[in-house]
Amino acid sequence: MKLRLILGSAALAGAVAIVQGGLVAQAPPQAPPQAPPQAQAPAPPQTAQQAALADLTGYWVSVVDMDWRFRMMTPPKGDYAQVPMNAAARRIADQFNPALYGGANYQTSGIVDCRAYGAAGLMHMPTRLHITWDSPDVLKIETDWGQQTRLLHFTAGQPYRDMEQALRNGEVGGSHGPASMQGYSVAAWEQPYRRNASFFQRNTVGRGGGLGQNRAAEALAGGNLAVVTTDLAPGWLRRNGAPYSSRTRLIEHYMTFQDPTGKDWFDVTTEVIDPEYLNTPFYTTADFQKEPDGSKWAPHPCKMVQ
Amino acid sequence: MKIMPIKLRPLWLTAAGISVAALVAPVAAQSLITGYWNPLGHQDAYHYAGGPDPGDFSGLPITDAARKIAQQYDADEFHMRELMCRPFPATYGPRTLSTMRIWETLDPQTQEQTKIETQMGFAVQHRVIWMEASHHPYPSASEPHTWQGYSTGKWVGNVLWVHTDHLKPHYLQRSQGLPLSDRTTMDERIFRYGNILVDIMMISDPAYLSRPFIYSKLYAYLPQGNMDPYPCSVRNQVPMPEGHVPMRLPFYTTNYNAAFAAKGIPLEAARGGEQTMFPEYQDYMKTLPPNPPYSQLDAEQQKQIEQQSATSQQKFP
Repeated sequence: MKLRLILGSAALAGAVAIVQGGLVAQAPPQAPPQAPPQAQAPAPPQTAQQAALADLTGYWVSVVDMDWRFRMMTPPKGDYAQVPMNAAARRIADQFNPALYGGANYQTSGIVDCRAYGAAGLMHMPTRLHITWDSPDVLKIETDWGQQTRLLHFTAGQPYRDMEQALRNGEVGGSHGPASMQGYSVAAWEQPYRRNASFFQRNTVGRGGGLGQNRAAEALAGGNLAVVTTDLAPGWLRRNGAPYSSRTRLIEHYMTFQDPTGKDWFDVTTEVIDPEYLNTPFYTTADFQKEPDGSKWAPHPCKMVQ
Repeated sequence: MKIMPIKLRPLWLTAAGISVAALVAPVAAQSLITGYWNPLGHQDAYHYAGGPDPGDFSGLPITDAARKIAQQYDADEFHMRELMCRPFPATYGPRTLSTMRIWETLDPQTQEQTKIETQMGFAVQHRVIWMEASHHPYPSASEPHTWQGYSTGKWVGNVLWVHTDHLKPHYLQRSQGLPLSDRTTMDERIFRYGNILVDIMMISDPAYLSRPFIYSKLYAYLPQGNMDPYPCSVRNQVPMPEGHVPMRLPFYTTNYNAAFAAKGIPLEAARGGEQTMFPEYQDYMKTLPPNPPYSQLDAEQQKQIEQQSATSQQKFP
């Protein structure tokens, strides 16, 4: 009898848990009758613009409160602190010639080599950004300082992706054409994954047969933009010539947030992988604040040095 | 004892199994961020070594009041016995070179996160982030403010939002004397991309900051992490007269060292302020005169030190 009481209580608790936990979410009792699959019209694939998990469009200004002396001015020749450069890179960087960038005042002359505005260093430079949808699957980033344009290409019909997994699978990261300062960028929206999923369980759809899978499928707010850039022409990580090579791969993540005063920001985390000149990946961040309009947009050309 | 009919047993056992499974299934926010994290040193590396140079406030949104207080700072104060074991505050510790450990406490019944704790290796900076499920009471106004303050957290998607206040008067970053008041608050957004943890710190202080100081810090996951104890003992490293408090009098206007001078930062830019944070300041810097040689700066500082010494002797014969 005692056993039946215990089991009866357990069954009742289980029933309550089923209702509260939504274990029946995959077959909700209130769901309308489904038409046979063959009768359903295929849903048109979402464009990246339609599927956007964050609004990055508009005018943004970089707010430079970190690495100030490396970003707002040209650091002294030979000062490559924090960049995990190898000896070959140092030999190239040491060829930096201050005379070409203002002579004695090269640190604050405002004359900056265009190679410092290559994609691997661009987001770290003090600049304003104008971000627009160039087409429903291409996000465009323009800068006023350095006057560069980046195009972030989403894969048509596949706006969401786990970029790290796509890199592992070789789906992204390959060459798309000739090298250029801004290279070729593949982009995807990364949806929030289940909070307690392990690295190998980060799909947004539940998997496995565990009883906890109902939570794996639950929708979470937010998400971020992930970008992988290849086909880069050699450029600089610093204004004083710290180089990156054409073998560089750039991985970026963009996350929007609001500050305590309600202003909109985004943070971009940048990982530069260069097997030729860097001993380890080079990680930096930059934070951009949204501006109401383009009234402060001020184009500044960079200096082309052969 | 009556035995349950065989045909009913599977039903009862299934129900029992479901109930047990429901109890152990995750019910509320669980963290992806627990574990050991290693700070990445590719930005603002001076926070990982001896601290930024005295007098270099470039890129910091400080007020005039903050600057005046910092001008009275003397780096020798670190050698005061009372300040030797001073920890970093919550607003600074995560920006420095310390392994960070993050762990969570779950309610054993509901499996809801009740608190997340962080500890930085240096100087035992232990912070508790009380989650909504803890129903932890907010400290009363009479409770002492602390180095780590009082933190509350919640999950918004995969991002941990943390708000911290109840901080004691502290400093923006070490070795500079820039103050932060006990009205300082900090809002953080903590999340990860793969094995990289991002902590966006938004520090606000109506007394000493003209706008929020936004700082994003990166950590790499450290699977073999460990943390040694950090015993701090007070000992005399630099001989100092009993009762001596290193400081500089208010008329002291320069506070530079040779390392600062070598970086070539214009003296006006080094005064900081929010105008130095925006791209257009690059245009303004073109108009600034070159810095005087360090020998001249140092001579001026020595002169002020002598003047201070003479003033002190007059006032306290």
